[in-house]
Amino acid sequence: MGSLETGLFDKCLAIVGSRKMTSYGATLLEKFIPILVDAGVTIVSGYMYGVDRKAYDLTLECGGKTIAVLGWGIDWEILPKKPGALYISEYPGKTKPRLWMFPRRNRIVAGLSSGVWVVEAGEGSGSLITANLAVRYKRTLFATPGPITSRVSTGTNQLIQSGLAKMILSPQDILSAMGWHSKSPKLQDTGYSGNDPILKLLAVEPLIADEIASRLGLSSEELSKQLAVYQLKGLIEEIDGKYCTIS
Amino acid sequence: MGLESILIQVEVDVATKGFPGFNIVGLPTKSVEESKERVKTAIINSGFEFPQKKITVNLAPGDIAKEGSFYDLPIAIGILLASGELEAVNPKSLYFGELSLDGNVRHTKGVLLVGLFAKKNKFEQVYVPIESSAEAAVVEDISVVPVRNLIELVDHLRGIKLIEPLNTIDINKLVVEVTADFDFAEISGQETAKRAVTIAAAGGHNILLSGPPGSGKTMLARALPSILPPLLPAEALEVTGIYSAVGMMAPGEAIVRTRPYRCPHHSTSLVGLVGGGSKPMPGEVSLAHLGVLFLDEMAEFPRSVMESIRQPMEDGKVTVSRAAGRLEFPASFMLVAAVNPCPCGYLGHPKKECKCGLHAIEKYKRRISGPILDRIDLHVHVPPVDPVKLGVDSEHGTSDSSAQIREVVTKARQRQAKRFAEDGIYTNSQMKNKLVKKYCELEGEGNRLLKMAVNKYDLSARGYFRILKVARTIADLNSREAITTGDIAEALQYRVRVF
Repeated sequence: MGSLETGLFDKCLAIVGSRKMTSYGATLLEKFIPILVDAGVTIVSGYMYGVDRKAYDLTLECGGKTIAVLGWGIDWEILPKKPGALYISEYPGKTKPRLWMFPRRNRIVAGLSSGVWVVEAGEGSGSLITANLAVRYKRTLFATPGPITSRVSTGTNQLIQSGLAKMILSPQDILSAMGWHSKSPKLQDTGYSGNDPILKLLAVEPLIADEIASRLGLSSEELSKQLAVYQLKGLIEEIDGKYCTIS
Repeated sequence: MGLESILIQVEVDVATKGFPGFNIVGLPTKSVEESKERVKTAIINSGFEFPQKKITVNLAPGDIAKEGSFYDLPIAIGILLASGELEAVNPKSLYFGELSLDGNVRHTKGVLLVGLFAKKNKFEQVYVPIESSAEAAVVEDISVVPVRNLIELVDHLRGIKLIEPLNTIDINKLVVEVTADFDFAEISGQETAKRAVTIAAAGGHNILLSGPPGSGKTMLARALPSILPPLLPAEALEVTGIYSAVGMMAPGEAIVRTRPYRCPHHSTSLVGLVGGGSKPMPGEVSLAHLGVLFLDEMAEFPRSVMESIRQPMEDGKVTVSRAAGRLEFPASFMLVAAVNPCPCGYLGHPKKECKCGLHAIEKYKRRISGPILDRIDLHVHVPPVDPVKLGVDSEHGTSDSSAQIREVVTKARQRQAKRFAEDGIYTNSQMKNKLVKKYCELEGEGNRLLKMAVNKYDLSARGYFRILKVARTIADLNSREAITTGDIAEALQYRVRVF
């Protein structure tokens, strides 16, 4: 149920984690998801409360695409129709959620994705099942470290310690490990898909905003928008009022 | 007290027994004590009898200190009533004004506040000095009787010769004149800075202009009044109330029509800037209420003085605490600050060299505190103007004139007035977090961009809300209700980074 677009399955990253997500886990998701969505990644998760649901909410908030794999019947509850959200389930109709359905659902989560990121996981967490499945299916497994004193980081820390999971410290770590790059900057309302003129100009010499605007015949507003996006993508930087490309 | 109006009852008793005397009780200060001489002389010089009996005047309530010279008129009327010169008078009237020794009633400050108080508390008439009467005339539903002198007033009260009350002045009909030192069209280039100043004017946002000497930042700041929209009637009343209370309304002036523009020098004292003093008075920040406070060379202000504007920037008012209680002065102003990038001013200049040592630069940058910078919504770098380009620009096409920009700004302000009709504020910059959440919802891509920016630039929560407010103004300037990704992107360009 939901939207099925072309290219939905191109870059799938599963985000799994404890039902008892902490504020640390939430912060990690807040920091990572905008950048992952920006790179065109589809987020796959189990729609369980905690990490799964937070990942689902954030992805949609950022205008991204997500696939929620349910551990219960597809008609069990009313699912909110949201642009970018796709719900799938192995179980028909109003099948009640049962404990044994969740591990089985996890194999779909791991199966659909090319990479799996375990955000936070306690020692006996169900997310570790998904992690092991990822290894078995030869998917790339990622884990974020956490404080040793935190119960819900014990699992993730152990995954890293054992070498099963790659330790990641930023969303770029995931993107470069998977070979997924940010798509070229594009702003819908300016109708600009080419950004070369500005970058070409700045590659030659650093310039102040007014200079760029007057040479390219852009209005101040147009230019400011573009400059902000390039800065966020790390393509240019501003020093003492002048903009220049980052090599 | 401050700008709050309190009703003072003037009771006059003329005793049949007792040694002749004239006393005022009710915690009168010196200026009120002196009323005795003015009132007695004015009554006698107007040809009325001044009773040679024991006269006691009580200014109730008795636990508030009485200050000012405006009790003269009510005391005089009280005495004339008690001595029999006057019969009864309408209890639903207010009397207010200072007397001259010859019986004339002088221009007295605070008359607008009297009018507003009368309307709020359902008084029917106010008797005020003729030279100040226009101020009260803008208030509806009250009868404003302009009084020239005591004789005229007594004749009116006796019914012999009535004074014509003033017609209510419709604020909307008052024409606003806009004058500024410069027109925007006269400033060549500086499109980015001009755009930033336009956004600031439209949403009432605080703005910091940083640049070397000669970059035109002062010129931009002094051209700003030319693009500010006229005061809305409700705003005009607020500003006039303040100006009336401090005695800055000229005789005959009805209302303040142009938006305030104050530029205190960096040698201004803390009390002068923010208000206070032993007899608490509003400071520059209150005189700039609903207008602009321009601090040129902001880094030259002493640290303590600069920090004092932090609270009004946050709350939109100044709270002065005294043993007798707390007074509040409104101070919701738009701050325009101009700074040099370093002590010599030439850091980052394409042609001139900066002669400052690194340590001196660091020390200079620390003069403006983080919390103050954090409360400034727009930060713009104003680059030096290339003299060679000055002539060329005029061929390339005209820069917008102030009149054109003001039109756009006024439209944006009208959108805001409509939006905030029930919320009690006038501009986007005044929104508190709750209202930001209500009116600045973002969709997918815009939200994503903002979140990425929060992470990348380590923005504080205040920073996050500021960007939303600026984006809201940018969308308003484009006559759009929805905030687009482009609006957020542009707003991001003006976040803190130049200083």
